Amino acid sequence: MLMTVGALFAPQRSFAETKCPWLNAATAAGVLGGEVQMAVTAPVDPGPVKGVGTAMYSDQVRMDRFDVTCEFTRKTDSGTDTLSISVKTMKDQAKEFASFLAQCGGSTAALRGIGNEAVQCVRKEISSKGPEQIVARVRDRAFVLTVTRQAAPAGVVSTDGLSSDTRNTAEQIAGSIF
Amino acid sequence: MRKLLQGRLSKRLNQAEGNNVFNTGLRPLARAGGIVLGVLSAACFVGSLCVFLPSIHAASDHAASDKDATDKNATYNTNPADQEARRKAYADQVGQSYNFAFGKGKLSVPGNGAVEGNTFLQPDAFPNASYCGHCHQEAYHQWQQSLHRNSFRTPFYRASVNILLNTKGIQFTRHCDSCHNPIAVLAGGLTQDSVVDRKFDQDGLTCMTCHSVQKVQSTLGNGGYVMGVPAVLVDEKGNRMPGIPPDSEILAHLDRHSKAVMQDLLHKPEFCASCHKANLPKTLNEYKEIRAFTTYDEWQNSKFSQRNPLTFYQGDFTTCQGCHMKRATNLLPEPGAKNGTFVSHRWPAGNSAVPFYYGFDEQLEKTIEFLRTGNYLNVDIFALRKGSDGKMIAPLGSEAFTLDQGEVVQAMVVIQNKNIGHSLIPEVRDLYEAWVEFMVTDPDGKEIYHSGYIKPDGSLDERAHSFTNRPVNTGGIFVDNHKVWTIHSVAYDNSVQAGRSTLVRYEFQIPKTLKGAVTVTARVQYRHLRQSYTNNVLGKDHPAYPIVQLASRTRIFNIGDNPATAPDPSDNPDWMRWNNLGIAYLDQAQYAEAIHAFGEVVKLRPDYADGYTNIGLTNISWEKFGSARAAIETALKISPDNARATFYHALVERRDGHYDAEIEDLKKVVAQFPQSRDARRELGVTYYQQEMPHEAMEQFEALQAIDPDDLAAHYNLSLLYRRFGMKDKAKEQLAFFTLKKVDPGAPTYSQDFLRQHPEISNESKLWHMHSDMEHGGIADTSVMGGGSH
Repeated sequence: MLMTVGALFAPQRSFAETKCPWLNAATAAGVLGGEVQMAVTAPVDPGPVKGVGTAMYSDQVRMDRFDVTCEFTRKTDSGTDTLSISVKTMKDQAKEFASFLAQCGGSTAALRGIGNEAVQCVRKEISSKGPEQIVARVRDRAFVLTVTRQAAPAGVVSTDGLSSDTRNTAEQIAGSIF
Repeated sequence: MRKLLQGRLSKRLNQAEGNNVFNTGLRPLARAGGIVLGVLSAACFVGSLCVFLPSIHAASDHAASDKDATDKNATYNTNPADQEARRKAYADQVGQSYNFAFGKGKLSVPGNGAVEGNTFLQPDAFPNASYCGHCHQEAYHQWQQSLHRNSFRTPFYRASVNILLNTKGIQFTRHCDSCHNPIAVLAGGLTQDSVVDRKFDQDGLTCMTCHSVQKVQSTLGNGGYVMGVPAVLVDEKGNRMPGIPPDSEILAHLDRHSKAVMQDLLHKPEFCASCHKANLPKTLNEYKEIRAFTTYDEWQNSKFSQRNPLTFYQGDFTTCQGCHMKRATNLLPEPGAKNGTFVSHRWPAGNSAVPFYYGFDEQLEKTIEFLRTGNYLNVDIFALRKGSDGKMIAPLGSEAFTLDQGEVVQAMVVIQNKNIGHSLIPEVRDLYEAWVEFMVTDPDGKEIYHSGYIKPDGSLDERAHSFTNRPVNTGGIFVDNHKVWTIHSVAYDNSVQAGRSTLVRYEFQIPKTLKGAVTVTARVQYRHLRQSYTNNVLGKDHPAYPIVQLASRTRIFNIGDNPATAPDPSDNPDWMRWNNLGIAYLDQAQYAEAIHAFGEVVKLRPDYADGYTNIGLTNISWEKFGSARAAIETALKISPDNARATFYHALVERRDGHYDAEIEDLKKVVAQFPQSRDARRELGVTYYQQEMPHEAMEQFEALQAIDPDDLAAHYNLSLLYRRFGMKDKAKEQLAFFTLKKVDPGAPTYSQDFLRQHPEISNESKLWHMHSDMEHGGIADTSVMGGGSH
């Protein structure tokens, strides 16, 4: 128990000095169109992460090792816009990633160039207010990006209702996880 | 406090804005620079959950500024004072939280990127690519799939730079991003508390990064450009007009548009040198400066530059752009096209993994076509040596011979870097993979011997002859994942320089019962990237990345008689085959064999002065100066003004103490080739030895202008400057010499690595045999001192 508490305390000290490891607030503000607030929640140490350089620097706390969830919110006259990023390291990739994909409710469109694989959750009724959601995988880590806006997004919007801003944001997140 | 900061910033912004009624240039400043990190308002409790809520204020409108960048009707402000004020306000804001880890005012260190005004530049000062794509549709289409566009976002880059970012700190990534993401560097985005909207990351090297470069600082690389404030128009007087004008403004002044964006520099190899050359500076590795790659220098030393008199062959002047930006018919509207053709903005090269990852089939097809069709390499199965008598049968095809069942055979394969303007592999040798696949099969296609195969897990046969290197760290461990800041030594480097050749030896045994013939194939294969790196980036479940055959040659050998056969159309003539063998032997320090090979050259081509010069050069390397003189003087009889022969003649004269003659020779070479590094260096040394310090200094300074890294120039200039009382300059040169000189202790790290990896340690030997046979080869003086594996 003491070890658990210790393990929890160690990364927290560095978290106080660190921002969302996947996207900076200025970029999120650019996507949402103005002033944002950021919440970085629940840093969970998933243990060793597969891939580049993870075991080489055990004496340093690498924020990108942690399954951090970030939420950026922007208050507008008509409501609240949000951009949330949830990252999770999967122990059983085949099984767990399927459950992430299931969040889309069965209607997905594949996206290329985002992580190892990515899909856009396609909504039945496309509206400017409806959330845009992308589920993606980088090696053994899944992430979900959800963008909810009160107004139509600025960038080009595909026929499936995905804005170029959201797509690019997902790619940036994947890039940070890589 | 937060409000106070915001208030101050707003005031500055308002002052900067003045009476302008337009947004161009201001909004980017407000958008990125107007973000103020507030006081951490953390809702945190001890336990497993800790929530921090720092308030972020972005004081601009993204949608509006995006629109502005492409709005044809946007008002265009050209007032320099306004623009300067806006930039200053932005730079002041970014500068408040910027990590000036390497000194105040040093924006891009450990990189070399520079910007006019030497202060941060708003990212949206760069018109985005889609803005250019309104008119330049072909360029935009090609650029989108090119590696320049994808210079930052690709996972193969991000994975590596993330390690640096997450272990040493983001400020160190300015080294890489000075070239991979210059806007991020110059906008001040690469700092711990970045207030910069990174949406430009997606475009990497966008149109207006290259088209805004005004000059290069030197040819040191690492982003050695000087970026101007982007401008797509100049005024009537030719002054640059930063900002983003509507299309109508450009269309009304096309000549002024062209002057703004088409610097002469864009056509020159020095422009490419700013990034296609890199070192690992002490600010990055906290060790010393290590040269990483020198593609520009390799071009400078190649026949294509016509600057180097010492190349083995001659060629037409060709720049980097001449190969990588060839003209082709444009399919889309392109105002930059001339006579229906447009220079490639795909920059085809060796980057096949990136288009494969993104599904850019057109780019992948063009890349593979580029790699295969350039006549860049020549593969020559040149000779066999039979175990029964040890004699060399060469050149194959021209010599009849017999082959017996059960014979142990050595095959000598000569790989010529024939028409590449740089080495094979020129950059990132730790990740890019080119190798020789050598296969011997029986009449049924069954393998008798195979080297350079791909294993079931996708990795390359460790014992393949590869044109890569192995950088190692202080633990003698291969520097995986391109962690270049940990490199202290290179265990071996088997790249083939432009115009040179390498000899690869294979040994196998003909089966004792075999009837018919054996088929021998040697091919140079290429993969971007090493399987282990792709595995590290993407995990092991990625699809197989393309392997491209660059060049190949097959010969069939009968059991029994093998008469002479007609050459293939792609074969070099026999004199050149011998010449390439001689070059390979020379580079492997097998001087007797090299002289024999060059001797065959002059038998076949007695008119070929370079054949004699090659004999002379080999004798000089062997320290047989008398023999060298005779051969070189023969070359000079055939070709009296031959700069190459004259250069080596000078070395012979030096050896004989004929310094005046030596100086005269070298002056002749310099007169013909003013950018010859070697002639300048040797002339400087001779002047120095002859107590002619002014003349020596002139030569070493000229040498340094050609190659700012030349150690002889640094060292000798430090001595010469001191002699003339120029203490500061002397000190500076000595510091450069000390910084750049190879650490004499570093090879021990390489030895550690090679001891730990016997399966590939032979690759570090100048010559070695590839064999599955336990005894390790035919008794043969040509492999004495080498190794086998």
